[in-house]
Amino acid sequence: MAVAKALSVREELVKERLGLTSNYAAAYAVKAVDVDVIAAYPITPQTTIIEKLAEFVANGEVDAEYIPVESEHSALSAVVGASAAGARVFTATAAQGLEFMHEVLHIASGLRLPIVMAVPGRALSAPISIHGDYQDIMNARDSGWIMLIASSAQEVYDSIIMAYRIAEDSRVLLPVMVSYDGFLMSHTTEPVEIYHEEYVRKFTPRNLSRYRLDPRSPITIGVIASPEWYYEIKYQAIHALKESKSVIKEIHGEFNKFFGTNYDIIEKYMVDDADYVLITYGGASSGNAKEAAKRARERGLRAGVVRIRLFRPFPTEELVNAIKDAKVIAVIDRALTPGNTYEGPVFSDVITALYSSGVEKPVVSVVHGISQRTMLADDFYNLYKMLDEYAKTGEYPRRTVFMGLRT
Amino acid sequence: MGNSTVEITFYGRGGQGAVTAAQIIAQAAIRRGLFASAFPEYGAERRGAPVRAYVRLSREPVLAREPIERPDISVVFDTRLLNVFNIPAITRRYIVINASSKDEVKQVLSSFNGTVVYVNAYEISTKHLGKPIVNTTMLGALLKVLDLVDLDTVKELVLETFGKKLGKSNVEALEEAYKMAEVIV
Repeated sequence: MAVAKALSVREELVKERLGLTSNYAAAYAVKAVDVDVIAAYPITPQTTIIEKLAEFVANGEVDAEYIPVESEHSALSAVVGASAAGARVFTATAAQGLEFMHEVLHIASGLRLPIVMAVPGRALSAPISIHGDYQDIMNARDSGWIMLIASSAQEVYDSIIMAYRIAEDSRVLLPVMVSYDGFLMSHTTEPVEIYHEEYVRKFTPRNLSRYRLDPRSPITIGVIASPEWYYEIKYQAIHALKESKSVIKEIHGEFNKFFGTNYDIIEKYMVDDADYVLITYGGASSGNAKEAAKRARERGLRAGVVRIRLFRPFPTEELVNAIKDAKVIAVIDRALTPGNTYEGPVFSDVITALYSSGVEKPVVSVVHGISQRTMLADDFYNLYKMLDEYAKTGEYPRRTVFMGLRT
Repeated sequence: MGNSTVEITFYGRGGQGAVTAAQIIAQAAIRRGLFASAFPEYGAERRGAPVRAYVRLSREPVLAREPIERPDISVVFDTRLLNVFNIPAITRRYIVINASSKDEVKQVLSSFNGTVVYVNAYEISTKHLGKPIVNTTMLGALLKVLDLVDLDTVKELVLETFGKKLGKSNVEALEEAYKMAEVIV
């Protein structure tokens, strides 16, 4: 019944099924939600998002102010200003561009501005790399943004629509980053069902109930706070981020009902009875891990995948609940925290989540796909075999495993 | 092609449009209601550098996001790429190749056990486009052996991709290649 209903809902909402890259899917979503101001500076692999948006604006298909700024710092600053004045805004960047924005990332969240930004992740210089990984995104982790990590072009499209609802919700008022794999998604053409824009707009009505810059009733935004007040104001923002999880779940539920989809803040793939679970994020890691789980199941291993879709705020209870019955777990990171006990950033998050619930599990930290080093489904299949070995021997690595690294 | 997923790799040089060709095939399949993914292997972007673009076509959603190691079909824009990527050894079923003559094909693909589709794409594309950009020509040759997508849908997408004027001459190149391409068993 539920499936039949979902199908009939989509029949009415879906305008067409197109072959789009995740970057184009992002641009189509921004078009559908009807933004007022777009400011951006091109950088690989983000460029085709803002090229497509420039085309939409030039053709009159998007009624927005498009500001081609001179740097990423200015791109985010411009949308900070516009958002403070009540505009619905969008920007996008990657890699060095996100680093250059870093200062303003904290300002956007501190000012509680509902900015939406797309980030196809890319490795950081030096050495110079145009290729994809998640180092830029992980470096933005502590800037107080809500961070979603999508795994398909359809999910990028849907997530950006959801992001505006989440960001502008009066209980949230925080910027939202929708990230995904540079190149392996940003430049991969795949099927995307585009909705009739009237439905998207019905789902994303503008919520302007927030403090805004308005000459008719002047206020000041972004003034200095003395030590007597900074702490409390900052705490409000991090409290809002933590509390946003329930709102994000609520909006996921509404989106699923409205659009006939099935999103959650984590995705579980064959985990219910799984002994061995790979925890992943993004498209390539998750897609190849799922493919590997299928192969492992065919060979008698109870394999599963948990994909982290909402990265900040971290889905602690949901994740712990999903993996609490597994025997051995591995966390696949496509980014590094140099000098830490383990070098996988999300590994540390998973360990912290388990610790908070008093659950003790063997968890292996795995790094793969740095600067888009080729990841094969077989690599992930071999991980399942390794986990099986660890379960049998009770021995497992107490330091990060760097897959495919030549030493 | 009986398998549930067909894997195609386009081999070209920077500027020849291999990435666009891969996207057009994927978009055509998606328009026909199939599942597909197409992505390029990027290196240093410069004209003339070897480029690979991968396409997976399937009746089921495509999960894998890995490079294609053993393509069912290799579409080779230039014979000098054969050795760069060891194409005769890794290709499972078909090599669709741009070459100047049948004799050249026999010589460069003597070690290949599968079926060859030969077309003189430099000649055809130069005739219709005024330059040896062979991607749409090679699509015409590919369609000789790929039945998951049809000629009309691919033509539609070529027109949409290249616009009216350029699209028309690209469609002409595609049609001529479809007619002229020879399947050598």
